[in-house]
Amino acid sequence: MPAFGSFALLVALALSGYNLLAGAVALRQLATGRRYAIAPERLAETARRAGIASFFATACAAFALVWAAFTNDFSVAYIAEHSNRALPWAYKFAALWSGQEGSLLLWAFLLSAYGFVLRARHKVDVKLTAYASTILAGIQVFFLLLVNIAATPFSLVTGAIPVDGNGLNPLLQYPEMVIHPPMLYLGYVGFSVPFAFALGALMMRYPGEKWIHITRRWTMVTWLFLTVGIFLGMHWAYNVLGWGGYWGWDPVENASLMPWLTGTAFLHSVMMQEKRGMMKSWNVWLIFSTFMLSILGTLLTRSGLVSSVHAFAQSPIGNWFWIFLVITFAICLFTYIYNRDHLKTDHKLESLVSRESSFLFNNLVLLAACFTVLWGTFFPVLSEYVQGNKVTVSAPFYNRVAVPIGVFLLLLTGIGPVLAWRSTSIKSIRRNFILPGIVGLVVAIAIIPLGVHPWTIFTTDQEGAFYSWLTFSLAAFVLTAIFSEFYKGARVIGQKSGQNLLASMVRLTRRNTRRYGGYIVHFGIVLIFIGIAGQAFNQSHEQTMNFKDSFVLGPYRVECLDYSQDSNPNYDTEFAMLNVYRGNKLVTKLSPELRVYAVNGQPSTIVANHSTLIEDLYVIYAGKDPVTGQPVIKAFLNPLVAWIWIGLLVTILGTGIALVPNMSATTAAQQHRVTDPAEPVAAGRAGN
Amino acid sequence: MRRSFPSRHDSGFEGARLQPCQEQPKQNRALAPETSSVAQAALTVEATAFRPWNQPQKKGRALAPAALRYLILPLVIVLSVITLGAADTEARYQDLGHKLMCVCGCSEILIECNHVGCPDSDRMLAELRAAIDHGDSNNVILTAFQDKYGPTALAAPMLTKFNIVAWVVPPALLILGLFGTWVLVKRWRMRSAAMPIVEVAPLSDELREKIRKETEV
Repeated sequence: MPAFGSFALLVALALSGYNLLAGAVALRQLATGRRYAIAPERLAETARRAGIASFFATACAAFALVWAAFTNDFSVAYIAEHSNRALPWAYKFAALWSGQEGSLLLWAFLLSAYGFVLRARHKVDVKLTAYASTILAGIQVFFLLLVNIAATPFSLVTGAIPVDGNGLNPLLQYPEMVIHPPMLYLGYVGFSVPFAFALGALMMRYPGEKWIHITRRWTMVTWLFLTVGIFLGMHWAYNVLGWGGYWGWDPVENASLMPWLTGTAFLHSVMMQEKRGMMKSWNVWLIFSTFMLSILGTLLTRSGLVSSVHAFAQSPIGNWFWIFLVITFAICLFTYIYNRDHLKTDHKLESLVSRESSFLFNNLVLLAACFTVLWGTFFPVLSEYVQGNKVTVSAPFYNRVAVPIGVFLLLLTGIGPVLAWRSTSIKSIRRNFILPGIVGLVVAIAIIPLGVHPWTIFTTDQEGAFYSWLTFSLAAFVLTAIFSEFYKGARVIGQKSGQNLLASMVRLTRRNTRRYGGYIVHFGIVLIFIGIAGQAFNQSHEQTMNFKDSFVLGPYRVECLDYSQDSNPNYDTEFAMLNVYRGNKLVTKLSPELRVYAVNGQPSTIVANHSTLIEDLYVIYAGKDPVTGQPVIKAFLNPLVAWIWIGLLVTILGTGIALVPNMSATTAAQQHRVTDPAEPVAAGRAGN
Repeated sequence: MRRSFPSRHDSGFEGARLQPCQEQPKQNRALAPETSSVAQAALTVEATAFRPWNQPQKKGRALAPAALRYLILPLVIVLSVITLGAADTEARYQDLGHKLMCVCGCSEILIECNHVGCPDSDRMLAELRAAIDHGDSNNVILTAFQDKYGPTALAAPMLTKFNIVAWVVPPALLILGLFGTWVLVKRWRMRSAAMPIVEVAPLSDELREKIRKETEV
């Protein structure tokens, strides 16, 4: 199987190389009008088919690696390193992305899968797709070169074949880790497609904005994957790592956030190009940047450039990424300079108070947030270069610099959607903002007696309560603005159709899925902000506990019922059994554990969490008192965390709705099919 | 080269291997060790940097103008509030614990470091508690930790020399960007042709519908 996998990778490289070269030659011929022995159309078609075939070859290689994991083929060094016989089958599947070589193979596979869909749907615009396919083939060649030369997943072990493997890192033996990395990679890799379309459209001086229509769903789906990937990572960190938080501002976490921020900016600003023919250069560079930031993220992971717990120090693979990044930037810059006259804007802004300018400010703030994260990530490197010593740039920096930017973004989330295109009158502003403003103000006052004291920013050097107060108030403002938009639209429909408010809202959403789906996404983002704002009121308590010992944390009393230890073939465990009371009522029993895995002696914390909509009681087994042998229990009271995960679900729902065609368009397409059965395909493509 | 310490973050799906730290008995955090050199250093700096609030009043103070006294009273109240906040030892411990990094190489915030058998976090936390109990100011404590463990012991750079750049650049760029956008929008608006004055006619339903559609996202 290793030989088969290696051969499949070589074939995939050859096919992608052919796709790149033949595609480039064909497109050059088409651009110059010269004709050779083989017509450029035919050459381009062979390139496309080679690209499709490369997907099957890469899929075979990925299959070979997974097969090797399932069959415990420890002759493959990668499998010996990242799997073992006792590993459950789901985690054996996850072995594909458990190490550097495998995750690069996964990247190549997902890229070829995206390429497969793009090439299979080439009739949506044959020439533009040919450009995008060729560019995508270039990216494929890079990753296939990596897995064929620099990080080969099918390398064989030297010496005797081990009887058993080292096993998977126990921290990764968690259900979410089976889907978190693929989701994240689908997001990273997916941005290659809109990037390829944007670069291709610029190279061929594509007329109009159709390329944006073609790539809209690609971009949204990719954005959704990245969003889900990031949040799954947060959820995993919260539930597995046992430090009481979900985001540590680690450089690799930052690396996933940066393309998300620029991708979000792109999703907003691209609407200006669609509607008003504006911001063309900006949009092109946004998607270029998003793609390059995805690559930069991988560079950070691989090169050991910055100090990260995910990084592989001294890995030579970082040089490959540097070279690729420089080449990509050079191509983007050259293409832009060569064709920049094609990106002249059709319209100018007519008013500072308009939807366009709100998008402009939204983009600015998102980019500022992205720059802050980038700056914080690379400042240690800069510091070492300038001062000769590295500094740490961690949570306190981001809390102080990035949080205000995030709060400003939340404000724009409420303002932007209720402004009209081109210009908004004072009367309209008053009409749309007076209710949300009042609600925001009422909430701002109402939460003060609940313990949210913004003035602590002046009395201590803690700014958390102030930003939380601001966030809750702005969240109320934004939510009211969103609901009033739904209400106003639904009321009109209800008056016309006689339907109740809820049915009218559903109908309203179905009539303009993109707009109201977008509002639902904003709703989800606001919920996430609320969940994050609760962090300012986290409490914690650590105590060595004997039988019947207890402590009080917030509204809970935690009592130690028992503590013990156990063993099984996979791990040894120490655990405590805790009763949790609210008042005198027993609300739950928690059992935090500390496991030490037999195969590699690695410790792993098993968090016990009692989650409600108000707060999480999050308990970990921190260790054993060396003198008494009693368990050291650490408990956190984390308010509002559940809203982060609820917000994610709402965001997924909203994005899903925005991806569905409008009800009117669907109906029209159906009518079109009934009246003209000869052209059913065209109608479907138009919906793209 | 892969890292070889266990940590909550050391979990990349690239498969970094976790190895237990050098086994050391986990110290009970309630038992503070002997006063550390950090605290000793802090004490020296603190003694020269601050004067106690309860120094005897000067004789001339009674002759101070009434207006000055009215100014002093609110100042004292404000400072008392600030001092009360700062005097909350547990809050300071939590706050400073979040401003320091564990130096064992796990890249974790000191107070959040939870990996088993960490050789440094318990000792550093004990030093921190001792320094707080000693009455050292935040700045003195942070400087002492930086001097002892190097600049990477601070979770964020202090406002010194080149490190100021870290704090200043992002907000400065945002402000510049906001200003630039405002100027840009203004210029665009000035370039736009003036709208012709047209008679205001009542809008037809069709036109309303058209405008509504046009202004929808």
